[in-house]
Amino acid sequence: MRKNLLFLLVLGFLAFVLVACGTESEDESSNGENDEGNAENSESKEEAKSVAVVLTDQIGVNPFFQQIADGAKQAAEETGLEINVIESSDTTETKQNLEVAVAEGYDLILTATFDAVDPLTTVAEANPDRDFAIIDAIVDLPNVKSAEFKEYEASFLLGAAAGLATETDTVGIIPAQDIALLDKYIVGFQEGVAHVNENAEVLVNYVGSFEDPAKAKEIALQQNSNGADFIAAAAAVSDLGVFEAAAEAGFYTSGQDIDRTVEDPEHVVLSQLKNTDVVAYDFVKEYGNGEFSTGVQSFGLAEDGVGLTYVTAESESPLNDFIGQDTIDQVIEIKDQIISGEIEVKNPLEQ
Amino acid sequence: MSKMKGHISNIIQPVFAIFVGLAVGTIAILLAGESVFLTYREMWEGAFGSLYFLSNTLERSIPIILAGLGVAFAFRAGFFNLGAEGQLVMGAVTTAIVTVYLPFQGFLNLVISIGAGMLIAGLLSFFAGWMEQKFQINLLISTLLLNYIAVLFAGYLVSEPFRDTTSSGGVAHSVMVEDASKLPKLLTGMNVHYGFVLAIIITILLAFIIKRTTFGYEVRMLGQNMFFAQYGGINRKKVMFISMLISGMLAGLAGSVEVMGMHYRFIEGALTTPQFAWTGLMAALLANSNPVGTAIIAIFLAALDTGALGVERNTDVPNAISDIIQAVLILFISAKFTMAFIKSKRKRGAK
Repeated sequence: MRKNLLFLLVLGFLAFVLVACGTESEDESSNGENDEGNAENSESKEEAKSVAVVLTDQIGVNPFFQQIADGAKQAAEETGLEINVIESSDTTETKQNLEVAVAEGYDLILTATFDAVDPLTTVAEANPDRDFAIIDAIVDLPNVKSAEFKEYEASFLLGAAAGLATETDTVGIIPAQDIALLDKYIVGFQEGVAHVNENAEVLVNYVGSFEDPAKAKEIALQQNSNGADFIAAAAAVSDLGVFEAAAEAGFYTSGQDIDRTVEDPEHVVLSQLKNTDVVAYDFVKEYGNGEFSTGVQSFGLAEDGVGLTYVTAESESPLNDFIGQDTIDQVIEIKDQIISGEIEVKNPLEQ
Repeated sequence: MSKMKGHISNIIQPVFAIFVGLAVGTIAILLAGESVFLTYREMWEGAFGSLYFLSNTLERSIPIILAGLGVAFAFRAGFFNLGAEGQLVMGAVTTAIVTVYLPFQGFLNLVISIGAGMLIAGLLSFFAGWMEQKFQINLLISTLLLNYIAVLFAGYLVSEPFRDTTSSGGVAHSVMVEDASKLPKLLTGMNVHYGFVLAIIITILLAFIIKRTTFGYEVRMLGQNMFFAQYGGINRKKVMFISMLISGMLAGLAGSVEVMGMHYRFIEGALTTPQFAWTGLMAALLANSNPVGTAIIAIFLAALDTGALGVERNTDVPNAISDIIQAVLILFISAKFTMAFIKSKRKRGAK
C-alpha cells in the first residue's frame, strides 16, 4: 500500500512537471531570437527621444509581435530615436511594464492587442500628459493613438478567391475562438464567398484556442471530409495544424498575418496579410518627425494595412493552379471596387 | 539532536535547490551574452530595487502564497490536491460574478463575494474528496482532471451568460467591479493590495493550527502514517473532508483577491497564464509544506518573476530566465521525491 502511495506521488509529479512545463518549454524556445532591448538606453536618454514598445506576449511565440517590433525598430533607426522592446507574459506584467516605462521617462509608449486594453486604459488615465499608442485595439483616450485594422476587407477578398476557386462549392474557415473580434474574419469571408458564388456553402468550426494545432488539424480533416476543398485557417499558432492536415489529405488552405504560402506552396495557396509592421513603422516615424497626433486610425485595403497575397502584394512562392491567374484577376477587380467604394464591406462588429 | 538536524536539512534543501537554479540561470545568461553580475543585479533591482518594485513582487506573491498554503495544508494530511488551479479559477469567477450582481456595494459586498468564491472553490475540492471516499476515485487524478472542467467552465461563464458586452473585448471577461467594493491598495499608486495582509495572517494562523491544535495534530499524524493515525482513533474521513475543504477555500481565496484587488474583473486566462497555482504548489513542496516556509518561498518565486521583468527591460536577456530557473526547481523537487522512492524501495528489499 505504501509503495503504491509513493508510486502515485512520483506519478503525480510527472503529471505536475508535464503540466507546469507545458507552457514553460514554449517560453524557453523563444530565448534565442531576442536580441532587442538596449542596456545602454538609460544613459543616453537625455539627448534623443525614446520609444518603449511594450508587448503583451513573448515574441518567439508569435510572428505578429515580431512584425511590430521590426517595424518600430526600423522607424526608430531612421528618425534617430532610442528604442527598447519589452516583452511581458501576462496582463499584470503588461501593466507593470507600462508603469515602469512611464516612470523611466520614455517619450512614446507603444503597445498592441486587446490584451493591453485594460492595462493601457489604467496607465494612460493616470498619466494624461504622456503619449501612448496601441496597435490592433482601440483605447479611446485623448492621449492615446489607436490603430484598428479592417481585416474584414481582406477576408472578403480571401472569401471571393475561395468562392471562385472551389470545385466542390464547399469551403471552410477555422477561427480560433468564438469571440466577437474574430467575426471580422469570419463574416468578411462569408460575404466574400457569397459575393462571387451563391451556391457555395461555408463551414465554420472553432478551435477553441489560439494555440492548439492538434485540434485544429482534426477540425480541418473533418471539414475536408464534409466536402470542403479550400479551408481558411484563422487561428494563429493553431494554423499549423490546418496546414498539416492540408498536406496529408490534399486540400488547399490559407494563412494569416504574414505570407504563409512560403511554408508549403503546394497546399497553402493564399495568405491574408495584416501589415502591423507598416503601422508600427508609421506611428514611430510620425513621432520621430514630430507629426504625432492621437486619435483612432483605421487601416484597410486603401491604406495598405491589410491585403491578400498575389492581389495586393507579391509572394516569393509561385501561384498555385488551384487558384489560377483568372481568379486573381477577378479578385483584384473586387479589391479596386472595395477601395473605390463600389462594394461596401461593413465592419461586422458595428452591424 | 536529530530534530535539530531535521530542521537544518529542511532549510538547506530549498536553499540548495535555489542555488542550483540560479547556477543554471547563469549558463542561460552567458549564452545570451550578458554579464552575469549585471543581470542578477537587474533582477534584484527589478524585484526589490524600489518601493514600487517591492510592491509588485509582494502583489504577485499573494495568489502564490494562498494557493501554496492550500496545497501545503492538504499535503500535511497526506492528501495531494493537484486541483489548486481549478479551485483558484472557480473562486475568482464566482467572486467576479457575485460582486456585480449583489444589490449593494461596499465592504459587505467585498466580504460576501470573496466568501462566495471561497465556498465554491472549497466545495469543488471537497467534491474530489467525496468521490475518493465514495467511489475510490484517486484524489490525484480527480483533482487534476477537475482543473480542466473548472477552467473551461469559468471561461464559458464569462464568454456567454456573464460576459461584459460594453467593451469591444477580444478576450472574454466579466463586468468591472464597482470602485466601492474593490479590495483597497495598501499604498496609493502601488500595486500591492490588502490581500497581502490577509495572506500573511492566514500563514500565521495555519502554522498555529498545524502546530498547536488537536485538529492540527490529527492532520500531521494522518499525513505521517495513515494506519497509525486510524489505529489511534483519528477519523480519516473527517480529517480528509475538512482539510480538502480548507485547501480548496485557500486556493479560491487566491483567485478571489486577485480579482478584487488587481484585475477588478475575471479575465479568461489571466489567472492560468501566470501559473499561480502551480507556482504555489512548487512553493509548498520546496518548503516541505511548512506554512511559513511556503510563504517565504512564494515571495522568492514571485521575485523571480518580477525581477525577470527588470532583466527584460534593461538587458539582452529575455524574461524567460525566470522560467528557466523555476524549471530547474521543479526538476529538483521531482528528483527529491524519486530519490525518496528509490530509498524506500531499497530498504524494503534489504528486509
